[in-house]
Amino acid sequence: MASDLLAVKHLKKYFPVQKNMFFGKKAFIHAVDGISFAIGPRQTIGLVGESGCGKTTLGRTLVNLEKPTAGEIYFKGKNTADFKYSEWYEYRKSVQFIFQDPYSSLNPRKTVLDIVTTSLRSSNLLYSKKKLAGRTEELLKLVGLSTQYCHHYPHEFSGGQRQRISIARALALSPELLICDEPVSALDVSIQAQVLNLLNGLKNKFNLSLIFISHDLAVVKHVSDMIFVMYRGKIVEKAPGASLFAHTGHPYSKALISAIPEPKVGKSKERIILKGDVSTPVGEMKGCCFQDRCYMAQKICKKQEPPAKQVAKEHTAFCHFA
Amino acid sequence: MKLRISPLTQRRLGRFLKIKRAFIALCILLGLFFLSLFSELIANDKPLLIHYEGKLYFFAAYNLYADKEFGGKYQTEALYRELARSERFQAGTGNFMLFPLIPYSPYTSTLDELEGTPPTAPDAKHILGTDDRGRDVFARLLYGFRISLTFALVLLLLEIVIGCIIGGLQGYMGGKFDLIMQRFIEVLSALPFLYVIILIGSVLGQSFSTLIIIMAVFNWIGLSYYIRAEFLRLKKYQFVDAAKVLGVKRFKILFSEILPNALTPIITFMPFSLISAVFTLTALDYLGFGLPAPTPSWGELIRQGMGNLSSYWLSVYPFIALFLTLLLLTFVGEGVREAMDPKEYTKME
Amino acid sequence: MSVTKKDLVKVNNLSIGFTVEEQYIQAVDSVSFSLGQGESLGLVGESGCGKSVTAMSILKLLPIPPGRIEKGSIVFNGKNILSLAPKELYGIRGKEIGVIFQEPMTSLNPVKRVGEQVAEALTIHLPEMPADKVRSRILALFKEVGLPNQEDIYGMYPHSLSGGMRQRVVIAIAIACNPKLLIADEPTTALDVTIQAQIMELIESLHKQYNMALILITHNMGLVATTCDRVIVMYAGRFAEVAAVKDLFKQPLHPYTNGLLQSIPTLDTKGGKLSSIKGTVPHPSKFLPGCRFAPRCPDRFKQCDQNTPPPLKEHKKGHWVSCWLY
Ligand SMILES: Nc1ncnc2c1ncn2[C@@H]1O[C@H](COP(=O)(O)OP(=O)(O)OP(=O)(O)O)[C@@H](O)[C@H]1O
Ligand SMILES: Nc1ncnc2c1ncn2[C@@H]1O[C@H](COP(=O)(O)OP(=O)(O)OP(=O)(O)O)[C@@H](O)[C@H]1O
Ligand SMILES: [Mg+2]
Ligand SMILES: [Mg+2]
Repeated sequence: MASDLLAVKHLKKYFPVQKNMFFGKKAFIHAVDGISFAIGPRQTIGLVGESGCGKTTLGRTLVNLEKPTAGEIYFKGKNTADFKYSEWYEYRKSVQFIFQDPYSSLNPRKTVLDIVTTSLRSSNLLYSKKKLAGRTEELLKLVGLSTQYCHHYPHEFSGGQRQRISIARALALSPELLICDEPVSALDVSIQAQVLNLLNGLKNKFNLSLIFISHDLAVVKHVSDMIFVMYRGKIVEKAPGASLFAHTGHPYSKALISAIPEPKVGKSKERIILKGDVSTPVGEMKGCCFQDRCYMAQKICKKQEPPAKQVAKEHTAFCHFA
Repeated sequence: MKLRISPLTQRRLGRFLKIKRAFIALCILLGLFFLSLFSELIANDKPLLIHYEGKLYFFAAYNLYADKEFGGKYQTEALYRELARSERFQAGTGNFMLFPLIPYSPYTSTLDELEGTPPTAPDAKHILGTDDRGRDVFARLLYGFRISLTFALVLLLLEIVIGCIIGGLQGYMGGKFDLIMQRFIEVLSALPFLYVIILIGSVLGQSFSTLIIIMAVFNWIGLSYYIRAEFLRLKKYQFVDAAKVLGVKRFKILFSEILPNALTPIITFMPFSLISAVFTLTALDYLGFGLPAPTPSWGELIRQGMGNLSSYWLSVYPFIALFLTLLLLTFVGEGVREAMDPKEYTKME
Repeated sequence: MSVTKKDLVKVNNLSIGFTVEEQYIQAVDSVSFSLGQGESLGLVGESGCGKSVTAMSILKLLPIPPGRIEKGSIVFNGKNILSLAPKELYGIRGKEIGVIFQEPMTSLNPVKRVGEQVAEALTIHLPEMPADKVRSRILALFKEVGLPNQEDIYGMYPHSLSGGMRQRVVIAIAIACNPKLLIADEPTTALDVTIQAQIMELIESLHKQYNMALILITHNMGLVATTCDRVIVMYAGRFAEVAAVKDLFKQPLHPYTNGLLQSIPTLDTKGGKLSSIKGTVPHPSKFLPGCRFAPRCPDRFKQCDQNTPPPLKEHKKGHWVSCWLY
């Protein structure tokens, strides 16, 4: 659709691994394995899944930190593969990324001012020192930090404050799409809520689109319009927030929802304990990607890739039995 | 803009200042080096002040005064020591020359003034004696110190520049470039250093600049290993990715994002590199492959000492000078290392 | 505190500090608690509030220096831990108290086969056990913690196991000698939700089966709610609230507990603004006099800024709180 801000078609990202040290054939980790979706303006997409399912890789591919193995990324209807230099610049400006680890994502040798204005200083426009300082103060105010921190260094801040600095840095060029890779999972419980509220507020204020990556379903549900559940590099269920919980289609989503320990007593729900571990997606897999841990697996799951099944309005699950 | 030193740097500096031995050693070294920059005013055969026929002439070391000005025949620079002794100079009333503390330059041969045959033992005129050409040993030691340290510092600078660029690129780019450079480094370090020095020295002639370039070509390797490792480690940090996403150019990422974080090994490396440079220069001079004669140098003095075993002052004093310099540098190096990376010992009961 | 069963652990007025960068930091300030046999106790609080230090002090497992036990006493099973000789301590560690560490990656030796590591833990305390018996015991342990193909896993190195499997090995080591107390320091923080569910299921069942006392350290309120009998809520080195799980979640008394519970997004919360606690956890070197939560507290009044909060007071039966409001 032309109205889509960003559209992804059959995106794949494989990482080579040497199976055997000496004579092994080249094998590939299918970190992202054929993902398609589109995000419109002001939309928030939540991406959940367990460790190693390819959430970060997907995000990194979207900001061109990884070259896709196959598939296309369309930005405002234009294929990024055909981008010219100036278009890349525009893309960089519009699509920003917030990293998971607030400790290693800020350069310890730079002051807050330097960090926040990185993108401004490396952009084609020339900014005076005064303008940079002004913009920094503006941004710090926006993310709720005192402007007196301009000349402080990252290690003088707590995790939550650092994540705010990251957010300010990402906002410097007024992006349209913010990809947040687990922005709160390294933070203390009482700080998480602050950062989530901040992101929500900014989203409304600047009409941002958000791709929100997390392994915490409750957090994702809180911020997202649409939730994508990922497993082994594939999206197994796409649903609007409420519908995912009301009409859960995929057995993996069911297990995920049931496994969340809720801070409540009394109402004890049935926990679905999955067997086995999340395995690294090495090599091609025939049939459903969830077959070896699924409690509903049948013969067909080993043979055929599950089709997309409409569960409810705008709600699809990739399972033979949905 | 307010200049603010990073608190981490502040802490390191504070720690360094607390290590008394290292701090004092650094002060002494810096003080001595600073003094040695004015060696011309300490040990020289050109006077500080000349009063000739009612006119004052200052700092002959830095200002060129022709022989003619003092009633001589030549346009060339006056030979002050001879001039001072000449009748013409002594005849004028009120004429005088104020010589530096040591009235000899390292090149001044005092054969005509000496009582015995050089090398002469230390006495009131030559406090550390003279060498086999009648030159003052103290003056030569002083100038030798300056040359050694200058040599070491310039070499260090070259090493850092080459080591950072090559090591940094290796670490950052990795892959083929790293592999090829690594092989190149192996070949380079397999070349016999002394042999190359002798070869190039005899073809191009010995000189300060050739020597320093040859040594720099061999010596950056040590530093480049550290830098490469640091860059390999640092490029995995997310702030590097963050810079990429923000559109920072590659070269800028290398030098303004990563390099400032890789300074620890460079700074720790510096004193030890100076030590090795001073030592190597002395050794090369001793062997006669170092700086060309008659450059004042410690190694050359020690060599003379070997030739004149009975003249202990030729070998003992330069040796003491070398020993003290290296000792002070080692103290500084230890202090720097300790300040950068303090080790705390704990135990689990 | 009222504990009906015989006390296994009794900690009284314990304070622990660290010297970091020539600065003294009080990590744990005058805490007291007790734990009965077979009881499960949750220790919750944010990063750096002193949970691990409190729990590890029961084993006297603190780096000294920089650490220092300022005052207080720890009694485990009738023995005063702080005055025990190192040799006696070794007899308690691993034998009577098992520990599961936070990071399954670093608590195993990477260059040793996992079987050997479990064997080591076993033979330190039971040196006379014959070798073949050790092996069969380990295989039984592996089975118990739910590891498949025990024979194969015995000879594997830690890096070839997944995070969940590693944590199972660590649990096997912890329960190898049938300890009376199991300390689980954030056993699932590094793991995925579905794996977390597996591991918690395992810990719960072991706890019930062997009647081990359990101290579960976590910052996940949800885990405490599903696993523990009693909870201690810690904030900045002090206990804020101690209560039975039921009471705490039904009616949190301390403003911190209350704020914390409100700020966690759950599946039931609707989108929009989460209620959050303002400000950040203060760094231990910047603790102010008075209540350490006061700067962030919505209900603070004059008293809070001036005086350290009163020691834990029993507000209702079994529900203790340290706050000037009560
Ligand atoms: N640079 C890389 N080289 C090789 N393999 C990689 C690389 N980056 C990621 N992978 C692999 O790709 C898979 C997906 O990784 P990714 O980091 O995207 O997962 P994730 O969903 O973000 O997990 P987490 O929740 O732990 O952050 C993993 O199996 C990982 O080992
Ligand atoms: N070895 C140590 N050296 C110096 N300070 C320490 C050491 N161990 C702990 N501390 C300090 O003691 C305080 C409490 O630490 P502790 O590890 O108990 O926190 P925690 O509640 O377990 O946090 P987390 O949830 O991050 O594990 C912290 O402020 C920490 O800085
Ligand atoms: Mg990730
Ligand atoms: Mg801890």
